[in-house]
Amino acid sequence: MEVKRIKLKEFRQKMEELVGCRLITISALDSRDCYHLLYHFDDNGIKTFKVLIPEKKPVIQSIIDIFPSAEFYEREIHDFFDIEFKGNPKLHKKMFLPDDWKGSPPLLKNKK
Amino acid sequence: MHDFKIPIGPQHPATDESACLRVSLDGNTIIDSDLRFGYAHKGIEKLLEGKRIEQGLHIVDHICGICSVAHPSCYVKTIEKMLNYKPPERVKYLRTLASELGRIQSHLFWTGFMLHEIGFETMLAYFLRDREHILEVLERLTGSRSHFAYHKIRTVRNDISENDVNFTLKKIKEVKKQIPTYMKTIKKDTVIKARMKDVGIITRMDAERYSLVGPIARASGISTDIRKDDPYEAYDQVDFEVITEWDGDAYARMLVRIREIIESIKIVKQVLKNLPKGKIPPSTPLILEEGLELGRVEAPRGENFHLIKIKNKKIDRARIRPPTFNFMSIFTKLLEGRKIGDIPVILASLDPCYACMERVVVIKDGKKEVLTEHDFRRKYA
Amino acid sequence: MILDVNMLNIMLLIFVIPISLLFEGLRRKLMARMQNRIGPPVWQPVYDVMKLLQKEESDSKASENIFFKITPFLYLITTFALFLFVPFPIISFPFDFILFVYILILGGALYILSGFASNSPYGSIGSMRETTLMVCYEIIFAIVIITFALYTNIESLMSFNQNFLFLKLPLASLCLFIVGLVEMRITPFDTVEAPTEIIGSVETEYSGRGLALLEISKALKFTFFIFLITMLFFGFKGVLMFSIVSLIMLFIFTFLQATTCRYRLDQTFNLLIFVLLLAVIELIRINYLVW
Repeated sequence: MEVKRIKLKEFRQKMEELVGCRLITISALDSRDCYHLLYHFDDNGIKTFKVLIPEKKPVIQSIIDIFPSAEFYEREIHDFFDIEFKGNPKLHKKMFLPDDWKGSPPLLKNKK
Repeated sequence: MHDFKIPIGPQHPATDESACLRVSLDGNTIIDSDLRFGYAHKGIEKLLEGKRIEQGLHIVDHICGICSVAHPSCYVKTIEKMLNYKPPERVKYLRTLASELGRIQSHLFWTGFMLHEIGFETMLAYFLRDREHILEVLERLTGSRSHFAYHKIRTVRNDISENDVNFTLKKIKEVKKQIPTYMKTIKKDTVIKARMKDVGIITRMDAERYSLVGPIARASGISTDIRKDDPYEAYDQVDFEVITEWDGDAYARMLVRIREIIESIKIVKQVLKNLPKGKIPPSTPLILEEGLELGRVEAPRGENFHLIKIKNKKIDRARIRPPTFNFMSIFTKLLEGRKIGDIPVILASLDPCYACMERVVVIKDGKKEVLTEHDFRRKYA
Repeated sequence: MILDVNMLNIMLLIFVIPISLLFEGLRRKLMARMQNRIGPPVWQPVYDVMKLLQKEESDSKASENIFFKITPFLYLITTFALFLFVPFPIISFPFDFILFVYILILGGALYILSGFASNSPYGSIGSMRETTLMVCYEIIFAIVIITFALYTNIESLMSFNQNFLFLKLPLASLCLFIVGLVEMRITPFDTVEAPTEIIGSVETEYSGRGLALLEISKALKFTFFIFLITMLFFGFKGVLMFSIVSLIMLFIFTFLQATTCRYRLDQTFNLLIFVLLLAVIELIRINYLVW
């Protein structure tokens, strides 16, 4: 699987270049001290782009204006990893978790 | 007239599974709608963390009862990509057979269900009767009618005998005999056309913007099919067409599915005719240290996507994106301005599989967390 | 064996509830057989009603409303009263067919009221649909009944004795047939009770005795329209011929239900406006003929 790493600064520009491709999904992986966000696109074959987000400040720009289907992937990742996507208006409406969920984000690994 | 909200779900005859759709109505017209999930949580993605690869396969087998070939097929494809393993020809053909039989029974069920939504119970009864033939074939092949657990890493669980091949061909012929009658009814019946034509139109541009896949996208004119774009199993060795329609309404989506049944029957016949001789390899233990790989297959509802990360011989992260996940974005858009009688038509024509969509659970980590709005009962329409 | 008319009428009135439940059971059995299924036993509606009568009523907010409690009972009375006029009338007086139409409309109004009284969005939508359609089809029904009365020149329904009237009044017969389909909740016109769209429609919140009464009323109305159509179209007075033709009509209605699907509310309404036009045309036509 070929993954191309893009820096957080170039993220927005790279997404705008990919207009016209189909967004397959957004995956989030939880690593030692940062989150890996993988954006998978279908452009005559799967192209994957990886963005690293620091754990202390898990904020990234939303791509909902270019790819409307990203809304639900971002909401799901927000529900389960607590990563914030700036620019997604419905982010704080919980999708899978109940509205009064108080625990820690479920898919984060327990860090002792 | 002031608008009032009605819930469609979580228990409702129109939705086969539990999900809550809240519509705001003005008389009989829909002004606004909102989807709410969380009723069929099963905890797949969290459950898979820390499991061994074979254990993961057991869990993936149980994600969905209708598209129950697609998920293990994708998982196995991903793991075999990590191992760089090419399965023997007979195994590839048998997996194709299982995939196509799963596709036929899923499409038969959903078309019957779709017609039941608009009041045509007779068609539902007939489609389910024909689906029984396919389920009998699957029972002979895999031993079970619903959750097959047929795929194994590097192999399949059961082999097929000469008797089974003849039985399958006989049953496929029975199903194929009925399809022209259904096509004729659907094409000629005025009421079906009045209810389904020009309802829930998804234009080609919308389908591309919202990244739709599967029969929904194909009914809007996009010719996308993972079996042709990214061939796997034995799809590069069989001859079939990708069915597209151009109207993008609920009627076109139904036509796409029925025509795909005909294509799948064609594939099954070719697979059984050219089945390579030999034995299937036995299932052996698996040693895989690390890996990160993704795979996709064409489930009956579209493109199914798995991303699996293995660390220290255990699954570290499994990301599963089922095909109908992105229908939510377009569904609320489609409902605006329609009448309440169109809700079941639009909802059923998009063919959602909530069991697939809700794979993540609410983890009770030490505390008792009571779910609000919890109702896990499946209601059959 | 020739029975005295009055004995026969009274027998029918006593047994009309089991007979209509039997018709309902026959309908379900026939429907199942057409769908390649086995279906419930023919007396299933009787078992259902007896079971429901023994059950406790669920305590919902709607049960605070007095209308919620009494409308099923009143609705049953009005539907039962229809059988005083058709097919073997017990009461007879000049122009009783106007009272007869009125009782039917009253029944429809009670049905609507029971939906609105049930404090449920599904009940409200069901009642709203019935109101929309009733505005149209009750007018058609009144016009058709008056057309039949004018054509046969009768003063009371008891003196109705023309055979095969549907051949002489084809448009009016067609209009009556379609109105019957809407009242009997048979596809393609059963949008009032669409279970896949609004769950139970008017009956959603009812349970126990209220639901049993509503189910009996539904079966009564179904049987009533079969009898009405048999009487007005064919006009047989003998019990045997009447029963046979009723069963044939039952078969026709079930076949129609098995082979069609449902129209949406606005589509049904547009069709009913067209049917209203046909009924008016027929009324004008026979006036021109009679006078």
